[in-house]
Amino acid sequence: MQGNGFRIALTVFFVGLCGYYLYPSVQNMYVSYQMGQMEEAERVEYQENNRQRLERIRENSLNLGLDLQGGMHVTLEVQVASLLDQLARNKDESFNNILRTARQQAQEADVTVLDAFLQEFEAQNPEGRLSRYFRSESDNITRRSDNSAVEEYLQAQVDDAVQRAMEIVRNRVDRYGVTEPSIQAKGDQRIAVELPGVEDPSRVRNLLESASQLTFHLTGDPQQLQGAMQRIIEYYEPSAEDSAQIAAADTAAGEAAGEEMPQPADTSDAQMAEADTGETEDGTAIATDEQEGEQGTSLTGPGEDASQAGPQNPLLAAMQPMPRQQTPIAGRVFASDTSTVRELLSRPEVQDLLPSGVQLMWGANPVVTTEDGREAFNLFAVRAEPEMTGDVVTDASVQFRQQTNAPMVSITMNSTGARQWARITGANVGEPVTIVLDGIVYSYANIQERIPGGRTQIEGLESRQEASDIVTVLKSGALPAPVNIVEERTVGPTLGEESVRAGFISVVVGLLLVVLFMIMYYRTAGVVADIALLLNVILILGILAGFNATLTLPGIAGIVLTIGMAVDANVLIYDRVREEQATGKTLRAAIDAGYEQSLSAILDANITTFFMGVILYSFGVGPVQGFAVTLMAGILSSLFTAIIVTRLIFDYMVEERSMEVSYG
Amino acid sequence: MRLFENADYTLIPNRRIGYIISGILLTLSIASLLVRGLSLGIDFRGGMEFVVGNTQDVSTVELRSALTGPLGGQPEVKRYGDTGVLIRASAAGDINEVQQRILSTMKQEFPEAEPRIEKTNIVGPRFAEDLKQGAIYAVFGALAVIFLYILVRFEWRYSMGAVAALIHDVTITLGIFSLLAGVVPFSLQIDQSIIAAFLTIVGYSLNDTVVVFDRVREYVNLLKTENFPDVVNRSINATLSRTVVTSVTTLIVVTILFLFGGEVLRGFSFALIIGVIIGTYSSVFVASPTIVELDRRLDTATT
Repeated sequence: MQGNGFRIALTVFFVGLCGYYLYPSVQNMYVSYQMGQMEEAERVEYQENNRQRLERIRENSLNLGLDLQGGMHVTLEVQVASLLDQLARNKDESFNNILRTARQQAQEADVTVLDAFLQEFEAQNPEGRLSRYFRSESDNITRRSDNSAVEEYLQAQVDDAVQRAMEIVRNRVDRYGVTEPSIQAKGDQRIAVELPGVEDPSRVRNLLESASQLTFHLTGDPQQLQGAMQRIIEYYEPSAEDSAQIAAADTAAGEAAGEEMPQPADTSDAQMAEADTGETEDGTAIATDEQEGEQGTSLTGPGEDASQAGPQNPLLAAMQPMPRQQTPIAGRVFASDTSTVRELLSRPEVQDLLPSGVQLMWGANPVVTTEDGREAFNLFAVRAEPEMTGDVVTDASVQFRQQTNAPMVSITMNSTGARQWARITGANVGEPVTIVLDGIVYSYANIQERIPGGRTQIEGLESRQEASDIVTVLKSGALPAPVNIVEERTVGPTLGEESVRAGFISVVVGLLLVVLFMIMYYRTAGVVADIALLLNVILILGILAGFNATLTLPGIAGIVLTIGMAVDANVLIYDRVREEQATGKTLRAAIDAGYEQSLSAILDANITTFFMGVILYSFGVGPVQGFAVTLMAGILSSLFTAIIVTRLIFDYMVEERSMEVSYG
Repeated sequence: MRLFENADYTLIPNRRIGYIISGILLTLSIASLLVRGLSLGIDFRGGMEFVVGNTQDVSTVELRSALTGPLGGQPEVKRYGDTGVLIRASAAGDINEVQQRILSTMKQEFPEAEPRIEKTNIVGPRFAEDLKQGAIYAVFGALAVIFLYILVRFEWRYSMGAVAALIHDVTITLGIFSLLAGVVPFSLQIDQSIIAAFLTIVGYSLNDTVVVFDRVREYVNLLKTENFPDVVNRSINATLSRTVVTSVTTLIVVTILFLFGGEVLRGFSFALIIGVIIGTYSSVFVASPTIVELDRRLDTATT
């Protein structure tokens, strides 16, 4: 066994490493089994108590592909052609022709719409200037800009649109409430969205494809709102006769009970004022917003009172009301409780209690983040009827106030918009106005004065980030980057379960038959090869878990295939050992020679197959990549087990135990 | 147990039999590919595919005629697994609308069934084009990489032999797909997973070929006095046991995948079954004879 120290260390190291990476997956299986045994209420409580631990386990355990757990994979493509159409001004027949040709070319050949457009423009107007159609003040593109500057500007606009589309998709997906969605840019204009466990694909399609709606809304009267919230809370106040009915909802909402409610953030709310351009003399007249004052000091949880009084009010358990006179904020809710609150507030009787014409809308960004990473959102009371729509916005940008360097958002509107805006702001000075995208409140600011020119500034923002988020939202109203579904794969949960079962049966039966065959054919050596084979399966899973790869059905097929092919290296070695024995060598010498002589064939054969895996991985998508990954992992692990591990076992058997190893 | 121990078959001298078999198979395959063609799956052709579950009592023929009007064109309707039907339509139109039309038609025509969408596959025309391009790159990239690797590790003759065997294998597997499409009760459309199967076949066939070549290389240095065809013949015989054993274990697992792996993997594992058989055959009867022939041509050219 001299010289085997390194091999032993290597084996222990890799097996240990795989064990380390697979441990969370085993834990996950155990925990889900345990939770499956629990009662509903017990499970909810268990999940609540072990939230962080469960999340950590789930994050670190082996990912199952959408084809196994059920879910939806969608590839979206940003419609660059309609973006160009929106960006252009002074459009004429020639422009429309060029755009149509470009769109067609991009459909047929591997060229982007923008490139096709630029080429076509060049071909039709060799001397023409792109600035004829495209101009932008904020990006410094004027009539005199040369074509390369305009091209750069257009490319930036396309990239921007993709970013914006991703942002919108992310927000919509977040609201949909899927666990662990994945949203990734893919190439220049495509976005891949993965949504595990989606029940209703048509809803998701609408959600992803619908054009975004940017609207400006006034808010509900705070006093009325306060009264209404009081009545709604009373509606849910448990009383003797209906406590049973509420108890059901209570368990769902109960998770939030007794814990610290979201603390108010120290936000200095935004104000809206006319742009401080040189033209207006009174540009500096932006009053600070005193109305806000100290925020929500009385935030001792009503949840506490309720918990002492037997059955809890399910609404109060999940939502922190904001008992302030002057704001249209109905309450504040942890992200984990939003679905409960949504359900509680969506009942028709509850909706009737709200002031007429007022709708509750969620804020886009968390107002508070607690220490353990939980986020809380505002629930705004907004007038359901929008005052105006976002298509009047022609431009929006982040700017900085000169003296203080404070970030602000500057909005430009077209003349129709400016007229409407002047009327709205004039009639509602001192009132808050909200910027709403797809029913989500992104910005909330008080009107400081009548704004006649359409040029508006939002000030008092927290950070540059907040400002640029608002700009993104405003631009998606001005330039909605429409997306189309170009690929979709949905697998229902039942079909996924069937696949898991089919894969599992295949692995087990395949393993069993190959194991039996090897023992029959190679006797003792066959047993050693089988040990290596089992180790192989563990190592493959370990490699997948370690690299955070996803196990798909083709991936399982790859494992099954590897089971059949992994023995190949052992077969090569064993046959060589038999040959060497036939020439009269001793067992010891035959083993040495067998391993040595077959090494080059093993390496050559496996390296070429590994190349196939690499090629497959780089061209394939989704499930096929899963196959490629397991194929590659299988080759690495079978090389390792065949060359290192089986050798170790034979050395031990022959040298330490002086056994007669039969190669059949 | 020992199979083919001390095998001593006269394979290379009788290589003409192999040429005849391969010739027939290749002719049939190419003819079928030309006449019948291949049916491309949704990945490469684009379109919409819906698997509607809970429809065991629905007749596919009736459903097809019922859907022809609402979906337009010629929708394909097939059984899928035990309880589902697969409906394939062209990619035009809004997805939700097409899905709605399918469901409402089914409810209308078969009021007792409670159809449920179990699975969708939707690929736009441009996306399909991109996938097709990717597949073509992958296949040719794979062939090029193999040619180069064998070139580096062996000599150009071996490279030619290996690539000849691979083209032979893939052509015949494709031919069988073309011949049997519609005959066998499962889908043999070419989609991404079939391309994955092809590349695996390429890898497997190569694996077999490389093992024989490795032995040839060894024996050429060892047995300098023997002529090349005999050396190759000996090498094949010496590795025959290993070739067969590995083929058996691999065939076991791919057959199990075919039987138990479910509807999704059926075409894929079918391709692998054929590929493993053809790949094993070709390393003995195509790749090795090729290097023998090339060697002879070279000899006659130099003398």
